[in-house]
Amino acid sequence: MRTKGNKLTGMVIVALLALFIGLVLAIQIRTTAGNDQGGLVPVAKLKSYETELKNLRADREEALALLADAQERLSAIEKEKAAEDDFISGLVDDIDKNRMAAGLTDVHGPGVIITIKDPAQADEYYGDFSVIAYNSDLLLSLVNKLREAGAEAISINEIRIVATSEISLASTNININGTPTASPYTVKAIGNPVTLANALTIRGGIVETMRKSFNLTVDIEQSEDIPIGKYTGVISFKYASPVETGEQVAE
Amino acid sequence: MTRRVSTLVFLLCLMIGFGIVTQGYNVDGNALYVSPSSVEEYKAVIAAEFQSLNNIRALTKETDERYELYRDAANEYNPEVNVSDMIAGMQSERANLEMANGLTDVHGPGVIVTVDDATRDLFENEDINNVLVHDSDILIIINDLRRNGAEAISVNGQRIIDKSSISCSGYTIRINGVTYARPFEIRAIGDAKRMASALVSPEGYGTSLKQWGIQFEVAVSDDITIGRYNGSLNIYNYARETKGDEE
Repeated sequence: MRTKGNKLTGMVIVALLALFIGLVLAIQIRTTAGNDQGGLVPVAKLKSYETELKNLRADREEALALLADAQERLSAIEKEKAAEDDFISGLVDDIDKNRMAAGLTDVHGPGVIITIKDPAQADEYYGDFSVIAYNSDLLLSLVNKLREAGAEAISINEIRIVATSEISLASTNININGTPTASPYTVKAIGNPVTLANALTIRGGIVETMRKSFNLTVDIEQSEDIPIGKYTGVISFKYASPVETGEQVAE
Repeated sequence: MTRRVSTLVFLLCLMIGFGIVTQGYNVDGNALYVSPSSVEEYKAVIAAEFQSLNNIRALTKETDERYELYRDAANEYNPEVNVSDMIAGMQSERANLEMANGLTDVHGPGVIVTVDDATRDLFENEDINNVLVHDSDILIIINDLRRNGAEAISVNGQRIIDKSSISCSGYTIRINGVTYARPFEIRAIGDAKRMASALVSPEGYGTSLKQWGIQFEVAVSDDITIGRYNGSLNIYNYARETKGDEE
């Protein structure tokens, strides 16, 4: 009787253990299988990228300060000349206005900040890619809606959107102004905060589409003062040239 | 005795199993391992920062050169000649900026894209929207043109500028506040071959439109003209320039 009882208990224990080990194995395999390209990467490896990025950002800040210096010197000498000469003063005025319109100046003002995050990683079946990146049309549409609502300056992840800006999928990430970007996305727009926010959150609008159809996390924050940095690309024309006055504009 | 040993073994195994599962995580909840996509994201951001850095340096160099030109103009013995240099420099800067802002008629090589609603019959119960050209189609075509280096773009003669938005209103499309109906003619100046091949490639947007039956044609031209934007420069009601002394 006693031995039989022991045998039974032993079997139950072995069965439970086997079940448990099986469960552990399954969990392990699932965790690894979720990331198809070579599984997990140790955090230590990321540290080197982190350091590189930190250095680059510091360099960039430094370079921006130098640029600001140079531009200030330039505008000082322009102003100095403008004070002596009405013609130059008109030119300087035109240049300043055009620079602002072309997105070449840092600006600030009231507006909205929109943050868009990919679905949580727990959503395994979305796999390892960025939902936003594969649906870059959403960002394109968002920018279009912001412009329609009267946005005066727009940036995505601190990249200023100007007349030639594109938002397009390049391999696995979105390129804006030819520059790669990564999720999460922060879109800043200066304009009437209420108008901007309402234009986006209208029923069936862009934000609802992002949330409901694509499972993205979207936050809209209205703010009294948002800084938006300048466009740091070089404006030049390789193919287009101005139609000279007197030249016939062909239709 | 045996029962106690078994219980001990069981508890031990339980702990080991639990240990294996939690192994991947630190005590403070930070993952020891991350997915490869994080590495990709880091690489993308680093590439972006690097490019941005180079751009800023190029801009600084350009600004410095301009400054030197103006400074020499201000200091030279014979000011007349050099002031005219300075004025010429400023005028060319103004011309370049006005072109960028779409305030100049421009011409050059490029493409003319024509898009029109499909003429095919609808399938039974098919949504009519499938055969119509939408604002989003125009938006995507413009984006593809920009991606492939378009320097100036117009839709039905309306210049697309920084603040242009394209919106659907019933069967028409509104651009820069002006309403247009089909067919749509999109002109773009730039590398014509590159723009055209991007649109009609197997993955191109033109190809996918054609699959819906939408009429889509791209013509390459050596010289097309795109008119200027007819409005005035932006009037800013909200945005203010950030000056150096502000923080």
